[in-house]
Amino acid sequence: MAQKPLIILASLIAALLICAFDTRGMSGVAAFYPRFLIALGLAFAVLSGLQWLVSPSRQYADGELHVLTEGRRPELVRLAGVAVLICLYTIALPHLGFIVASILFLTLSMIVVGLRRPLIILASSTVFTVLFSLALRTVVYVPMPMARPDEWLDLFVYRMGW
Amino acid sequence: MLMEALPLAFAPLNLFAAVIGLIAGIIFGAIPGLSATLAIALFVPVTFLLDPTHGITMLGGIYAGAIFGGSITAILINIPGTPASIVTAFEGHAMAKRGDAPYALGLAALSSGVGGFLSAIAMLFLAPVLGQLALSLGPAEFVGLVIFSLVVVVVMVPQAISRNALSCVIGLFLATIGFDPVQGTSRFTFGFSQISSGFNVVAVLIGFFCMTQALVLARDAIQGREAPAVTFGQGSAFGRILQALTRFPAKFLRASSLGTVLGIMPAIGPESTPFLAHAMEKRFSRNKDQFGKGSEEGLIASEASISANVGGSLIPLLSLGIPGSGAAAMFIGALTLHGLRPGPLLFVEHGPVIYAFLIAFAVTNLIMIIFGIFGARYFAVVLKLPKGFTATLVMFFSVFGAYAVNNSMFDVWVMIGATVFALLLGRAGIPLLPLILGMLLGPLLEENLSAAIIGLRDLSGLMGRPIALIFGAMSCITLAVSLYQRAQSGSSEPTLFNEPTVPASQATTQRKSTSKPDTLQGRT
Repeated sequence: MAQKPLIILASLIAALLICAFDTRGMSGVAAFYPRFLIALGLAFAVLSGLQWLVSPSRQYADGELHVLTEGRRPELVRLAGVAVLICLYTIALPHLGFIVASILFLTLSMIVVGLRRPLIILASSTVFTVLFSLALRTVVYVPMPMARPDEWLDLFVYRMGW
Repeated sequence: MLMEALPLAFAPLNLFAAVIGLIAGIIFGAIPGLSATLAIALFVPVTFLLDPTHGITMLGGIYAGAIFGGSITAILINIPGTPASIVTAFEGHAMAKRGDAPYALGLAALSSGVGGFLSAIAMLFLAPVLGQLALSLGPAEFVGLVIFSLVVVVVMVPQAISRNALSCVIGLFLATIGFDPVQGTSRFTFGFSQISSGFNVVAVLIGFFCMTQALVLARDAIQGREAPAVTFGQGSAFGRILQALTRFPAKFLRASSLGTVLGIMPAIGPESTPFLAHAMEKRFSRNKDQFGKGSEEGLIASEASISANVGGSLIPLLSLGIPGSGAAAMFIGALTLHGLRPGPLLFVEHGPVIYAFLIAFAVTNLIMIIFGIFGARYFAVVLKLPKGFTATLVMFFSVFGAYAVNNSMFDVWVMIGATVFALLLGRAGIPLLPLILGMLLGPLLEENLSAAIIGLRDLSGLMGRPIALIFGAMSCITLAVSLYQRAQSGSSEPTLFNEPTVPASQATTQRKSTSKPDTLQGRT
């Protein structure tokens, strides 16, 4: 576990080297500035790595975000479930449309994080999403990904003359 | 002309438009990802229904409200509603966790209002003069200013300077992705045309600050920690808030002046201003060790400078037609659509309307103080919600906010990537703050550096740029003093934005032994 920060630093160095390789096709000012930054980044990354190696006990991990990657297994699994839900929501949005994807995401996410009464959660998620979608159509005009239910809502707003 | 503007400014409908704009702005600002720029863009069509004076007054209200709105969630749940509220989250949330939430919210509103009010006064009387002054700054001066800002942040974050500098360089490097500003060469896009203009900074910031915090809330909910981190006492903070005005008049004035001056400079938006104001106030403060742990002086510096920056950015906008920030650019569009062409003739052709707007902007900021002080208790409804519910809503709005900036699903993936990146950097003990400032100021630095190199030809050309030299000297001195101080005190003393530093091995143990939720150290 103590080696994790070093692995992350090594990955950073690798990424910087790949970018340095990518600057081959550039010339002039466009190449000079990023090359200079890459050189600086490599120097500081090596320096930081050396600091970890010399005195790992004096190094301080991020107190808040750090604990997200550690904890009891069942809790971590559920937290990972939340992360997976976010990714699934992002994937589903263009296919299922804003209304259906959001209702599913809100409902499932609230259940995974421990809220009870699934029916009430489903109902409140539906009401919230529909009202929010109405606001997006009538007040602030943000075009979200569409599917059939979104088109029905559009038609409804059009017929009501809002 | 000023006398003609007074009745227009204080017309009931005008004040009503200001209040509506203020409320809309506060709501937008409080939602992660929805910035003042977006709020103004979305409300421009609404203002077509109104008289130009009322319309631009409403937009001014939205602008001011969005900046304060970002502080509400920053203080209550440690989620900056706008990128400008990051420093406010450090100080305000720490105050709120001490049981001072109403005071922190009221103080934020007061600071924001005072900053906005003072900048509005500056706009009224100094707009033409200050606008011209800002134009006299050349690329070399901007390079000096940006480098100084970066050095200040690198030395003020408590982690080792090498890691702070690494973080800053990563931020500057991320800002180079996309077309370069001089030759238009595509850099580091690896075939992704979506990032040919660079990463969407708002999406990255949502990933860094909102989504990570949503995950922290989700984890608390999963662990059954439902006690809110912040509690509202029964007592009123009104007296203390007013006392702050008399206790720290110089701080309000300094932060507001700095914010206004930085706002006048093109491209230095409200996002980077609070970092500098916060660092400056720390230098002046007698309670330096309180900074980063819930310092009211730090909160005042942050909030007053942000709002003053907003007002300041309107000065070159109105007098010269030059936008000082993204939201200001949106404002130019709105003014033009209302038939008000920004520039030197604006005050001549539409004097009463513009003066009425400026007076109304000052009044709007005063109304915002009242809103903030007396509405603080109602904002607390956020704290009464179950953490699982709040976490889900924040995740939802984070996805929505990342998407809504450019209507792009790619930006949502950028936001998710930024979240993962923030977690990895956190695990390696690399702070986020220098990275963010590097990302925000990177384009400005590269653009002006290129222009300065071309313009000056050699280093002797710098001799004719005393302001740039002063910034350079200040950067060197700040770095040297910080290195000396760190060498003298060792790295284990409590420092800015952090509670006494805790070895990684003990961090988890400490968390398990306490029921209190997260500390703020992760945010640096």
